[in-house]
Amino acid sequence: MTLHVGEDLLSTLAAVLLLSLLLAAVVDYYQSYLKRQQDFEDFNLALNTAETLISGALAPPDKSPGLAAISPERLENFSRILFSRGVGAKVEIRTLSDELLYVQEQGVPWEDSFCPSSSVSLPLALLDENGSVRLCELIVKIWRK
Amino acid sequence: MESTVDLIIFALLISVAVSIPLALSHDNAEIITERYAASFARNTLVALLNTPAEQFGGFSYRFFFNSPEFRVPFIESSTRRKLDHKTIAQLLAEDALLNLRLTIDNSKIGPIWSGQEMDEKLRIFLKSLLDNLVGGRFGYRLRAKATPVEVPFVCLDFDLVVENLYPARAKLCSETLLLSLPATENELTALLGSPSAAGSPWPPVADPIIEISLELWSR
Repeated sequence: MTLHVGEDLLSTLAAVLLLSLLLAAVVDYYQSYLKRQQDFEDFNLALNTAETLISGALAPPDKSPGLAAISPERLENFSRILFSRGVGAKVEIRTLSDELLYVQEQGVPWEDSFCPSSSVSLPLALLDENGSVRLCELIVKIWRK
Repeated sequence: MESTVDLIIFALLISVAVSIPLALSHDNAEIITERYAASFARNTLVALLNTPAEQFGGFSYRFFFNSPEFRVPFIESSTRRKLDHKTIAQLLAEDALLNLRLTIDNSKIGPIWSGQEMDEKLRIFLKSLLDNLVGGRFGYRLRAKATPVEVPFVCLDFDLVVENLYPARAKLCSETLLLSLPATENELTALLGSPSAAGSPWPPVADPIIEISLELWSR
């Protein structure tokens, strides 16, 4: 067996370089994939939370279809249950002109720099104490523990 | 050299294998987007139909009579109808009743009543409302359709479309609600000039409805 030092060394270096690049690309792809999957799950959770709120905790006492009413006790219970399952949530109800009507939060991180895992907003016809209806926006932000 | 070529082929195979999960995650993105759009459309439709017009600046129109002798200022001002207290659903139902179009043997005869001003104003009102509520996130098409009478050669129908599809790429979802048309069988039959339902050659459908659908399109 004859050893061609220059040629074999070059091939080895090329092979190692290619393998390193490939490994780095695979790791990067997989991390991106995991991050995207996590984002989808978080968004799904936020959307499920918003829909459950509209059909449950925000349903008016007479269960009129299509209307919502703020019940602080029910919203607090809902947030507490969510927190016990490892999900912090901030529920806001705002008018179309961005005036804040109601906010309920549980398990929201102290640091302002923490962005929510996911956030969803849906329109809502809110029934107030006078019996009048106002179109608002329900915003749900969630954080995972 | 041969081992380098083998390595390149191996790297290509691994790259293809890794890109498959990424392609699947793109499908996940579409599913999530469509799900959110469907939820948004459903809630928008239900919320809008229950909200009174005064929440959006109010709604009024003038009801015109066909005869020119009624077109004098004091009569015109008394025919102004201010409908701030009515919900969007009620406005659509009133528009449908006032703008039912008669079609005989594929020839469009025209609306039975003179409700054109209400129809025009309602379209502008709904467009402004939906541009504000939906237009920033999605393209949309709102359609209200009613066909209370449909028999061979004769059709009495109503069709209103308000849309903002520029620029729109693909339809994400369509949600539909059904409302009752607030008119009895006798009233509808009377519109066709027949005194009673029993004697009418064009019987209206039982429980006429308005189908209101909202399509959302991606931008």
